[in-house]
Amino acid sequence: MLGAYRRATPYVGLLGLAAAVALRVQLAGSAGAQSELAAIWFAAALGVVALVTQQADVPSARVVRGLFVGLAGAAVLCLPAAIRHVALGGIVSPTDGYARWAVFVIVVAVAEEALLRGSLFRAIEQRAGVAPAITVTSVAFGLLHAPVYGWGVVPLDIAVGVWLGTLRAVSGTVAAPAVAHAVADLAGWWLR
Amino acid sequence: MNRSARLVTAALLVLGVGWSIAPRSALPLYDGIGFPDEPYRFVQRPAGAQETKAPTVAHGTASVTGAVTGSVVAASAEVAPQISLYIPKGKLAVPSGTSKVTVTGTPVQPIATGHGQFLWSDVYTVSASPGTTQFHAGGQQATITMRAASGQRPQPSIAYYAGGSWHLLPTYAQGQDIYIAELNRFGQFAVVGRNPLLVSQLSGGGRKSSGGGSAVGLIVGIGAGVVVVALFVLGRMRRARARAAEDDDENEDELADDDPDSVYVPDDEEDDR
Repeated sequence: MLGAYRRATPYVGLLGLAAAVALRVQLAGSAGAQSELAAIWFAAALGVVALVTQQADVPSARVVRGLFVGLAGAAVLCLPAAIRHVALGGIVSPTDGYARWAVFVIVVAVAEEALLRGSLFRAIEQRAGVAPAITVTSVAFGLLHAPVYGWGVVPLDIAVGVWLGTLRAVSGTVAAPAVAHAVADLAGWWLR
Repeated sequence: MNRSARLVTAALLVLGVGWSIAPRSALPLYDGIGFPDEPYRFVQRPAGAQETKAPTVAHGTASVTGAVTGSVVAASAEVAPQISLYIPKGKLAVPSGTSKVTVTGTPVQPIATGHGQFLWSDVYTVSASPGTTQFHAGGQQATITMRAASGQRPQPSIAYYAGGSWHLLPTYAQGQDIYIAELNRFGQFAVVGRNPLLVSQLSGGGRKSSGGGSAVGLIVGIGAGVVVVALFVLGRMRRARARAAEDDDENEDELADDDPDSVYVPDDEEDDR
């Protein structure tokens, strides 16, 4: 029984992810990515799916190492935009509302990583190895953004998913991609 | 090269490919929620829209060396910019003897649209100085990125005005209300939708947000964060219990179908064993 459940875990995770995206789109309506309410429920739904699909034999997390790997990973993600802004366009001055915006961004980013590079990555890795785990979670990561941000972001988001999956694989903990994802998103305030 | 180094190298290559095919003005936004924009600044404000400062001019210059123009980046000063232009190096043909080229995007009075077309942004005149500057065909694309006043759907298009009518360009969404298209001519540009612009759905401070505009949203957000963290604390506790149970019963065969060799272990973790 438990074995059957574990075999089904990747599919449960992917279906749960699709359901969470559908929930977000439905709640957001015309507000799209601007809807805080939709973002909150999206994050909560991801958290629930991640919990349900969590694996029992995850290696002990190396959180401190993961934090440093994540910060380095975020630096890589921000580098092209930072170079462009400093060399060509300057930095956009922040306006009010950063703290509020940051709370939502962190919650969503961490929830996504908990499911994708956490439980789903581990479930696929156990069955098929690290390369399929990176591939599947990266494609899922790219596709989940399409309904809200448009298809134009999918190729870059898949590539970013590969990078985040690699951070997960080399660090052995979901903390690394979670930090990289959240920090890169937060930096986007200045690098847009 | 060990396995971790190979993985990182491969991932960096994939990331480089992703950046190379992404639109030049792609935001470094991989998730979260959209940036809170300021209300759209209209040249001619629709009834019911919030009063704002006047829209600003996008302005960029590049030097010309040996008849080859440098890259030009010009963005207006709003948050988010209502227009931004990117013209790659060598894309402009300038008169001989030119040492500097200037590109501007200037908001102008609205221009009438045809049947089934509606302006969802200000009209901008994109021009260059010297005035005889043209675009070279081929090579890397120049792009125009415009913000619509609303995130309405169906998706609008960036359009240019020529011959008395608006011509829609192949357009890609860059988020909820930002759009990008190829720029291969100078002239008038605007975001054109198929439905009237709804004042009730304007982006930024003037819109009616489904997420609420008060502290309620923040409180609920923090609550959601606490819930997510709590879920994972519970998850870790469950994992620890399951692990302990497995250690107590080594003959348990419930993991028999798992191949331990397929589990990736970082190099240094292998060393630890």
